[in-house]
Amino acid sequence: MKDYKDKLENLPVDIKLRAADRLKIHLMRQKYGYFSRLCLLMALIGPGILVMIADNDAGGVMTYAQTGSIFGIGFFIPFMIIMLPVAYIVQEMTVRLGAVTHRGHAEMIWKRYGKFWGAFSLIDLVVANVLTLITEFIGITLGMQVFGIPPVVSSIIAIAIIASIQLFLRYFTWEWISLSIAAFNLIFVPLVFFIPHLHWGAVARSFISWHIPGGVNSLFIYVVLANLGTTIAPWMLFFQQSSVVDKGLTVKDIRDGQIDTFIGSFFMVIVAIAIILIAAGTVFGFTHVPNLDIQTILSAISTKMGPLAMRLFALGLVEGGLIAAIAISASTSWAMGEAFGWPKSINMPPLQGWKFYLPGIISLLIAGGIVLIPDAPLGFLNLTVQVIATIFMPAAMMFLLLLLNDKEIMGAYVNKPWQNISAFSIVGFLIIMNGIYGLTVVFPHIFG
Amino acid sequence: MKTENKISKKINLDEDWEDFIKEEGLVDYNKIPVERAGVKGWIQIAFWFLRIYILAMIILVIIGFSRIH
Repeated sequence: MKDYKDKLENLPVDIKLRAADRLKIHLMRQKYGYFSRLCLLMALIGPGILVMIADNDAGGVMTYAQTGSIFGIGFFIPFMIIMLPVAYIVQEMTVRLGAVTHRGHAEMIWKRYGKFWGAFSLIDLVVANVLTLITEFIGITLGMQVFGIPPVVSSIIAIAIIASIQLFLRYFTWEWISLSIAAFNLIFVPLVFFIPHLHWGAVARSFISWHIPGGVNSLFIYVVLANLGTTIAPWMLFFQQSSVVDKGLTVKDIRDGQIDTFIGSFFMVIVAIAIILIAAGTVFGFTHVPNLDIQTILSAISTKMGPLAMRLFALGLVEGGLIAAIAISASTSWAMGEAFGWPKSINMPPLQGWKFYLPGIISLLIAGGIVLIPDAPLGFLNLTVQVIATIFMPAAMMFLLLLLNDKEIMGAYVNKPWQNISAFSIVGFLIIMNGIYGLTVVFPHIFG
Repeated sequence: MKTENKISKKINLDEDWEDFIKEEGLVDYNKIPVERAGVKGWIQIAFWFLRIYILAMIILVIIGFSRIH
């Protein structure tokens, strides 16, 4: 009988590399003991933490900073805590779907519900991803300007880093490099301890009072929607499922995938709260400008907390843009590969997998280029991102719920009643809030 | 006895290769077809709701963007 190593060599290159990774997992699973169990968990985590940290992207950092600047800590600290189970419930479903079917979200919609809905989802995702990438490049170039680096240079460097990570690394290395970049997202947390006059008692009281400074008005609804849209976005569903598939998770790994998703959700919320606290402690109550831009917030942080804190905040903004750009460009590549049946793995060598890598690289070049155009309508593009995400998120969620209730493909792993109740409640809330958002776009003064 | 790093079960991948490949899903899924789902009952209702929702949102978007320009 041929040695199993020969058999490994005979597999297609992307499956061969995945098989080598899975072989390690297979061997780890045979070992007993808490340390071995921890090693297994460390080997299996990745997609959940990556998606959640990438969710604290440049747009997210700006949204949380503006939230804290405008509304302080009264309402949005407890609100962000509620976002933890919301993000977990939604993203956990992609872990199960990916582990059971070994197929990405785009592929499942395309093949299970036909070309029309498949194309609808794919076009929405790709357009929204390109537009979201523009916001990431805005964050990267703005953040790097703090260090005196001109936008042209920072944009080119960012494209080169992201494209190289995607093209030349295999999945395992790509994931660990991305997780290492993601770790810098925690830079916001220690900054909290340098906020002048931060009263932890006031933070604790916010959980009782849920105080909304200025009451419910159109600005408040807009900020709630912006935070909701920042917490759960369509690309996240596609990214995590494809990542779970490319990593090769199986039904045996679902528990670890769930832990991974929970850890990610936890850190996402901690970082979001830290940013809200920093902005609330430095800007809230000191200015009455309703549309604070990130430069104003950075300047306030520099004045109240010192230039070092401002530079670290800017570094966090750059990191947020970078990690999200890595994740979003990968999600574009995966979705295109899944929809058109191309080989679709980060394990593919660049020449063999050029078709798979091309959409992600093109989207990076478009976004990195647009952000450099003088007087580009970036505000309009940002609005368009939100509009597309608004239309697309309930549709993407509906397909996720249909698939998770499909016994033919999910078998014993279909949603349990409590999971359906929670998920349908989130979809219902999303649709209502998106409807309200749609109304505020058309009638900006409807809520006063 | 359960000790750290002790392999409890000797695995022979030369013999168990096919099981390993199957268990780990290490196959080209592009070559395995997926059947279309039957769209009936509550799923049909969900799809109609989605069509109406998308149409309503597109109308809102057109109105919104026409006001911007």
